Amino acid sequence: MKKLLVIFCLLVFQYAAAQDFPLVTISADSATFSQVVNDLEVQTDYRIFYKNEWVDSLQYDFSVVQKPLEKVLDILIEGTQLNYYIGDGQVFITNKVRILANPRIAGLLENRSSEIQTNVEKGLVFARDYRSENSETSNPESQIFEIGSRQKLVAGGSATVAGYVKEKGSGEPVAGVLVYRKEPLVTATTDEFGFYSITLPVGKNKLIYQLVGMKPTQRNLALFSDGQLNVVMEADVTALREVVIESARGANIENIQMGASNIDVAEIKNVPIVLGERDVMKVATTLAGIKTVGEGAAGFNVRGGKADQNLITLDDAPIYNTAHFLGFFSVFNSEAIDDMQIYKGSIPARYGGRLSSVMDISSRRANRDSISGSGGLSPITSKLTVELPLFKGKAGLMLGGRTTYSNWILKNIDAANFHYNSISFSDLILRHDFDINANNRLTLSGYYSVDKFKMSSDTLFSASDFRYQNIAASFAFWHRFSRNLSSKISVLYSAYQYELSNDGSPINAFLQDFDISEGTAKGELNYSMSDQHAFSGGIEVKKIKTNPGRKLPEGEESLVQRQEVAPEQAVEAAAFIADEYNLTPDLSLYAGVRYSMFINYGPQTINTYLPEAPKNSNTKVDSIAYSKGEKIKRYGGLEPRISARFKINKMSSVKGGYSRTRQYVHTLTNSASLSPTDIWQVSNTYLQPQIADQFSLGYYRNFDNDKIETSLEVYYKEIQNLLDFKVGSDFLLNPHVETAILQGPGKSYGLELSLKKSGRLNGWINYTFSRTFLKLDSEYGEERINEGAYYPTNYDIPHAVNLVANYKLTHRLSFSYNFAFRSGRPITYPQGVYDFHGSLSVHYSDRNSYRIPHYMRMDIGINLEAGHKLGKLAYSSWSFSVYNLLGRDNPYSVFFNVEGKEIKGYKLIVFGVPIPTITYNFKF
Amino acid sequence: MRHVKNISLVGILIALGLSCVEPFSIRSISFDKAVVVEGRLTNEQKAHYVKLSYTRPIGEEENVPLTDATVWVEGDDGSKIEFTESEPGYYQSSEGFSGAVGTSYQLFFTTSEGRQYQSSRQELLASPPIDSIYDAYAEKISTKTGEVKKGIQFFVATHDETNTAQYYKYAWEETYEVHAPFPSYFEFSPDPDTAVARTEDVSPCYVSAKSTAITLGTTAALTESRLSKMPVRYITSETDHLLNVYSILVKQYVISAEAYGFYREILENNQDNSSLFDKQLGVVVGNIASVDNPEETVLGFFEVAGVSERRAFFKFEDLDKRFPWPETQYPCNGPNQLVAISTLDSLEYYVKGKGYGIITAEYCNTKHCDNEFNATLAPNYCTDCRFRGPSTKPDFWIY
Repeated sequence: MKKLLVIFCLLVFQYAAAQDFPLVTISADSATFSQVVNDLEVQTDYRIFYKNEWVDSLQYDFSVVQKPLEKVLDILIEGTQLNYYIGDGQVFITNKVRILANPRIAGLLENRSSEIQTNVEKGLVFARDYRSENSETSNPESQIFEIGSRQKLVAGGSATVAGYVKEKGSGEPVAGVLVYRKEPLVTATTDEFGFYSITLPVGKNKLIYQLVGMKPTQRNLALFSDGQLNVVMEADVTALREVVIESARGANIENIQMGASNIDVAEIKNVPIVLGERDVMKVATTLAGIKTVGEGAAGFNVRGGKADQNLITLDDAPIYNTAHFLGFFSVFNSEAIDDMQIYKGSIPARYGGRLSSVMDISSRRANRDSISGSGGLSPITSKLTVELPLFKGKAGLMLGGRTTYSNWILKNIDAANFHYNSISFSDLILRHDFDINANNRLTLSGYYSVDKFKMSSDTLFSASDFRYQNIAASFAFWHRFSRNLSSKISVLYSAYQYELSNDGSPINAFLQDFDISEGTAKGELNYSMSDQHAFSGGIEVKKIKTNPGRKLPEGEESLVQRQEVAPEQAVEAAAFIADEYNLTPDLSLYAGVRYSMFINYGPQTINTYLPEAPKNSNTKVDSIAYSKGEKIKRYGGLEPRISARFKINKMSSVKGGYSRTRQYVHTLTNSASLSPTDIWQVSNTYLQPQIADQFSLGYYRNFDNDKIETSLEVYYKEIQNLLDFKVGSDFLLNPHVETAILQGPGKSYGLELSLKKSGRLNGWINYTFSRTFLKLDSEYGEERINEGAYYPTNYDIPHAVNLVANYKLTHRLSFSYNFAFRSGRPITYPQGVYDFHGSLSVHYSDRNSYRIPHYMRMDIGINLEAGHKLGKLAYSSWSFSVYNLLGRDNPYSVFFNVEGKEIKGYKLIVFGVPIPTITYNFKF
Repeated sequence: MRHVKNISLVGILIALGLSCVEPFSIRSISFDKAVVVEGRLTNEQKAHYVKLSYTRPIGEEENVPLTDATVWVEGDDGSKIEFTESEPGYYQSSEGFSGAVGTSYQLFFTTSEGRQYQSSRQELLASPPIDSIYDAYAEKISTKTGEVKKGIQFFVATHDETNTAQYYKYAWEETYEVHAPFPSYFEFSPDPDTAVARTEDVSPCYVSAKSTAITLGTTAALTESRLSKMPVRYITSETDHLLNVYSILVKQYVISAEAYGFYREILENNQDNSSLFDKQLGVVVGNIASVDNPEETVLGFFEVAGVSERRAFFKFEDLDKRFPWPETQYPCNGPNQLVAISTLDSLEYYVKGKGYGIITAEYCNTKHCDNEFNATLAPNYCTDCRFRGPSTKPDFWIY
C-alpha cells in the first residue's frame, strides 16, 4: 500500500519534472537497482543514496531515451515500498518513508518568485523562510505549502485551492471529506473523485480535512493565488478501515443535511450482534428514529414510516427485500460494503420513489494495487471477500460471498420434527472498478441473494419449498468535464422474486410465484459554480414490471387449478435540480426540486365498480381492457426539498427543512414488518401514490472539542393515501386486489435526542419519541376503520432508547455493550367471545387499540485483535458476544386461537434465551 | 392462498431453540357487551330461526341469550313474519312459512329495554339446482405431524343460467352405513337365564352428522356463474365413513355479496394465527345496526338465502383405487375379543357385567352333550352398531 504514496507523489511532482530534471537515457536488461543507479549518477550530477538491503532483490527491464531523471526513479520504485526525495543534487531513496521536507510542491504549480512581498497580510508566513525549521520531517501536517504565485498575490483578495483527496494505501479517491478552514469558516466537500475546491482569503491558512473513519488531517498553506493541493488521508490506524466509531467531528454542525447519518462499516465492529454477523442494517436500527417492530423483524420503520417506504439501494440499485432468514440477518455482507448513507429527514432531490427514508449503500471499491481480502467464520455463516487488481492502479475486482451452513447446525440440534425443516441463504457481491484516467472512471457491480426454506408443518402444505431472491446490477460512468463540472451516467437493474412450491404429494404439487423488476437509466450533473453554489441536476427513467402472482400445477398428476393475475407494467420518470448555496459562512441553504411522473400502461384489464358504493366484488360492474402500451393512469407532481443550516457559533447550529416525497410502488402486507411473501403493487387506477410532507427542525451542539456531539430533532409528517387493509384481506392471487386496500391520510410526529461520543469510551445513546396515525373514514362500514377516527398504525412505537457503548481497553482488546428498549407495538385485542353458527367466535377490539409488552434487550461483546505486526500475512480478530444477555422473553407477537370452546392467547418469543456467539475474522 | 402467510417458521425457530410460543394470559380488557345476531330465512317451508345473544368476557363459557325481545321480519312485498321465543334467545317463525324468491327481507327486533335494531334488506335469491356431487381422491397434510393423509374429497358442481347467483354457502348432512363385524342375533333373557333371538336389527346402522364449519364459494371472479369443483367435504381413510355406503345431502344457499364477505372475515378471524407474519384482525361488522345509536357495534348477520339441495350416494368399491381400506375406530379382530362360553351363569356375567353381545347361542343335544349351552360373545361395539346410530333405514336410503 505504501507505493500508493508514490502515486500521490507522482501526481504532485509530475509537472516540474520535465523542466527541472536532467534527461537521461537508460537501457536496463535484467539490471539490478545499483546498476541503474550507477548509470544515473554517470549521466547526471545527482548522487543517489539508498540502503542495499532495500533494493538487493530488485531487477529491471526497461529502456528510456532522453527522459527526465524523475521518470526513471518512478520506474525504479514502481511496485516497491520505496520512495524517493530529490534534494539539491541528491536523491534519497527511502523505504516506507516519504520525505516532503521541501515545500517545492507549491512552486511546481506556478512559477516561483524569490521576491518577497512586503505588503502582504500580517501573519503570512513564507515557507521558504522557514525551510530550515521544517526540513527533515516527513509529516506534511507540520509543513507549509505554498500555493500559487507570489507575483499574482493580491493583498486582501482571495484565491481558490483545488485538489484531490486520496486514501493512503489504496489510492482511492475519498468522497465526502469535509474540507474547511476555521475562522472565518469556509467549507467544501469532496466529490466522488475525491475532488474539492475551496476559496480562501490569501495569506496564511490552515485547512482541515475530516471524514468518518479517516484520520483527520490538516495542511498549512501560504496562499498566493489559485493553485492545487492534493492530500492523502489515512484510514484511522488501528485496524485498517475496521475500527472507528469516530464521526467526522464537527460534521454534524457543518452539514446542511439534517436527519442524515452515515454508517461506516468501521462502526459496526463494536456493536455486539446476534449470531456472529455484523450488519450495517442492524446498526442502523440503533440510530434515533429507526426502529423495527420486533426481534428479527424484516424491514424497519423510519420516523413513523411504513417498512416499504424506505429506499434501500446498493450502488444505486434498489434492493426490495433486505432480509435474510426473515430479518435475522440483512442481505448485505458487511465485508463487501463500504458505507451506508441514511437520510430520514431532508432527503436530497436526487433521491425519490419512497416516502420515509433513503439508505444508500456503497459496496467496496476494489483495491487496484494489490490483492487483499477478508473473511469470517461464525456458527451460522462463513464469508469471504477478495479484492484483485486487474490492471495495476487502474482496475480492480471485488468479490464478496457469504453462505450459511445453518442446515448443518439444524441437523445437529436434537429437536423433534426437525428433519423436515431447513433454512439456508447466501449472497454474492461483485464489483469491478476501472479508473480510466483522472477524469473518467466506471464501475460495474452486481448483486445476488437467495434464501431457501423447506418447511413441514404449515397449515396447508407439507415439505413446501420457499425461496426468494434479490438481483441487482448497476453500471456507472463518471466523467469530469472541468474542475467545476462532473457527470455520472448510470444504468440500473433490480429484481425481487419468490417462489413457493409444494411437491409433498404429486396431486397437490404446485408452484406459486411473484416477481417485480425494474430497469433504470439515469444521468446526473454536478456543477460547483463557486464555493458558494453547488448545483446538481439530473433525470431518470425507470420501467417497472410485476407479476402479481401465479399458481401453476406441477407435474402431470397435479390437480391444482391454475390461477394467474395478469402482469402489470409502469414507467416512473423524474427530473431534479438542486442548489446548495452558502450565503454566508454561517448560513447555508439547500433548495431542490424533483418532478416525478408515473404512468401504468397496458396490456391490462381494470375492473370498474359502481361509483357510489364501496369497492367489493359485488359492486364490480365491468372491466376495461387496455391494449399493449396504452396509458391507463398517470400521476405526477413536484417534490420540493428545502433545508437550511444556521451556525450559531463554532459549537452549535440550527437546521430546518421541508421535503415532499412521492411513492408509486407499495407493498401489500398485513403485518407490521415486511414478509417475504408480501407483494409489491404499482399504483394504478385505484391505488393512489402515497405522498408525504415532512417538516423538521433540529438543534446541534458539540462539546469537549467535538468529542461529544448532541442533537435534538423534531419532525412532523403528513401523509396522503397511506395504505391499510380491510379486515381479513387477501392479496395473493387476488384478481381484484383493489377491493382489499384502503387508503387514507396519515400523520407522524416525533422527537429524537441523540448523543454521540468518541474517544476511548465511545458510542451513542439516543431516545426517540414518535407517533404515527392513520385515518380511514368512509360512508361505507367495510371501508371505515375504528369509526373513521385516527388510530395508531401497527408500527406505531412511541418510545425507543438505544445505547451502544464501546470501551477500548487496549489497542487490541475492547468491550462493547448494547441496550435497546422499545414500546410494544399495537395489536388488535380480543375483548369478548360469542357463539356463532355452532362455534366460538372472537369479538376483537378496535384496530390497534392495545399493545404487546415492551421490548428490552441487552447484549455484550468482547473483541480481541491479534497482534498487528507489519509484514504479517493475515490480520485476525476474535469476537465473542452474547445477545439478549438477560434472556428476557420479548414477545414478537401475541396471538389468539380458538380451541374448541375456549380462546387461548399465546406470545411468540424469538430469542428468549441468551445467545452466545463466537466469530473469527481475518484480513490479508 | 392466505395460508402462504402462515408458513410455520415458528416451527423452524423453535427447532433452532431460538424461538418459543408461550401462553399469554388474556386480560379481559374493557369488555363492552355487544349484541350478536344469528338468523337465516330461506325459501324452505319450515320454522326459520333468529338467535339473539350477547358477547361474553373471555373465559366465560355460557352463552348469554338475549331474551324477551320482540322479533319480526318484514318483506318488501308487505309481508310481516312474527318470531316467537321457543327457548331463551332462540326465536322461531311459524312452521308453515317460506320466503319468496325475489323478495327482500329485513329483520327487526326490539329488546325488552326498548332498544331497536334492524338489519339491512337482503334479497332472497334463487338457488340454482346442484348439478352433481362427485368424489375425487385427494391428499392432505396433517398440520400436526406433517404426514400425508389420503382421503376422498367430495365436490359440488352447480351453475346458474341466469348468471345472478354469485355467492354460495354450503352445508351438508351425511349419513353412512356401519356394520357390526359380528352382529349379535341373540339377546340375554333373564327369565329364564338364556339367550333368545333378537326381534330387531343390530346391524347395519346409519350414522348421521351435520356440517359445523362455514363453507363458501363464489363465482364472482369468473366470467360465468358456474362452480364446477366446489369442495364441500373431505373424508380421510382414518375413519370408516366410506367403508360401506355413504350418503351426503348438500344444501346450497345463495347469499348476498355482503353475507359472503362477512362470513369470509369470520373465517379469517377465527383461524390459527400462529405465524410470524400476523394478519389483520378486527371487528367483523355484519348487516345489523342499532336504530338509536348507529355507532353501536352489533355482531352477526341476518342471512336471507335461496336453498337447493341434492343427495348422493357413494359406495366404497366405486371410489378411487388409491383410497385405502378405511380404518375402523372399533377394531374387533384382536386376540381374546371373541369369547366362547358354555354355562348360563357366565353368560349373565359377560352380558351384564362386561358388556358383551351374544353372536351365537345354541343348546347342544347330541350323544356327547346333554342340553349343554354354548355361546360366542364379543364386546358390544363388535356386535351391535346402534351405539353409533339407529339401525332403522332412513327413508331416503336407496340400498
